[in-house]
Amino acid sequence: MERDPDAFMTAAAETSDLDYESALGELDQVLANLEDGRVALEDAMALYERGVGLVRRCASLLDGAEKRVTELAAGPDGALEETPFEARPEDGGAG
Amino acid sequence: MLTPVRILQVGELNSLIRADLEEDPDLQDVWVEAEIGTHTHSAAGHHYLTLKDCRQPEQSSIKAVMFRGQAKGLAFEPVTGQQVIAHGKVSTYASRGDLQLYLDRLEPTGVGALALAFQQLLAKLEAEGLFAPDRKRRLPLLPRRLAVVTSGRGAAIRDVIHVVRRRCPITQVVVVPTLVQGEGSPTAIAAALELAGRSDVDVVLLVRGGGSLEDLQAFNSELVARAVAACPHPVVAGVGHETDTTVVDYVADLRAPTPSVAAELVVPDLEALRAELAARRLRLRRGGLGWLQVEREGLRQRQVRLARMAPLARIESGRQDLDRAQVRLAAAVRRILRQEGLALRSRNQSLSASGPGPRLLRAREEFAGRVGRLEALSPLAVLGRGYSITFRSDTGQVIRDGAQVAPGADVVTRLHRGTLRSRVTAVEANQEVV
Repeated sequence: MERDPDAFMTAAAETSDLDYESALGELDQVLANLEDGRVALEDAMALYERGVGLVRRCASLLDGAEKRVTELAAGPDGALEETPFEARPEDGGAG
Repeated sequence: MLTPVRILQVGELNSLIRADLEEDPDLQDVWVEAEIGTHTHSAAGHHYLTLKDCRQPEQSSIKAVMFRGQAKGLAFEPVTGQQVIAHGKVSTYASRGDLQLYLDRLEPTGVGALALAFQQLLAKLEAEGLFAPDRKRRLPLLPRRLAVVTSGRGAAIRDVIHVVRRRCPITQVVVVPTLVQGEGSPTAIAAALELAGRSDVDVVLLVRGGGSLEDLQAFNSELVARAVAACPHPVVAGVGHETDTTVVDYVADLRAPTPSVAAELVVPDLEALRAELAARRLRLRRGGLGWLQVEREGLRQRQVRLARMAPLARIESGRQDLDRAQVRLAAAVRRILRQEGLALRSRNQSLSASGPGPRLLRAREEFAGRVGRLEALSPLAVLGRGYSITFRSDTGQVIRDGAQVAPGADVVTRLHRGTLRSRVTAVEANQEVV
């Protein structure tokens, strides 16, 4: 997907729908731009704020609670059904 | 008298032979071990072969045919020289009377049989481009949900859950239980993969613990290989032990030697991700707020260079001004002290004993002003970009930290052009921004 070259400059843009990988990738771009040191103060401030938002987004994605293991099956109508997974006793060889 | 001889028509003879053969149960249910001589796969889908004696291939052979209907179950493509076990019945082709073996089963023999079927399927799928590197999909860095297609019991699923809990407990494991060996297992695995493909997961693990070569056959089936290729999510295979290679390993987006390693490859180490993020957070602080420090360092170096290169006259004139100021200051102090009626032993003593008077302060300010003007000559590109430097007006100290001043303090801010003198109304010290 083509990224708008100026999109990361928008400090106010939402980060909440970014997945970890996109947020981290954009954060690296922001850092590269800031560390390059050739941006004007106003742009540096906007970049910095965007960077803060991206760091927060990443941190929130890493902060989830431990997830329960579930089991997936198809119902009689073919619809997906997910239930808590119970490990079955071992019967040898099949694992 | 001549004994009457029964003269047969050719067709009658053929029918007689045929009837005779088909009445013999031994010839209607024959297993034969042979080597394939010639082989033709007709456009209609029938296989025509000659089967030769394994021990004396040049001395005995028989024609054989396998019609399209029976050939559907053929797991390999027959080739000349191949050792096979064939099953069928002996009969004749009525119109010509040719004796033939009508085959319903044909299997390569020995331990090479599975290997041969494996190689042939591999070649076929590769020719279709199913193993092409550009078909391989990238795995997500941090999967939210991970489907595991495997047996619901046994070590493989336990190992995977264990690894995910240890490395990345925030990733949800979704087990898609399936039969993994024996009759019907290819169909079951393909169905489970289809289910996983329809579910909301980021990546699919197809794993099975170690077993005999026969136990792993489902993962060498064309059905399962195609189900892996058709899965809309990236698939990571971890089947058997390190030494086992199955067709699924080739089709999968990533191949792991065991179920545990497959899990290690799919989920990141959460602590490592957190450390990585912390390092970036630090870089952001340095690159954002702390960037000023880099500029400050550059400024200091320029000042040093400037001091070295500036016309000596300027510095000299500054010094002379200072000397004159000091002389005048000393005189003023002496005058003040005399007015106070105190004895004065020496100029130096008076200076150190009495501390700076208001004129000394003014002289210092004047001096600071001159030095400031000198600095202003330096190429302070950084100020041109909108940065400014704030000093305490009483000590001239650069303010780096809100804690350095109290409300009510007077500060001096130097801009690219001009200077601001301000009074601090409030201090919000030690606020971490990130």
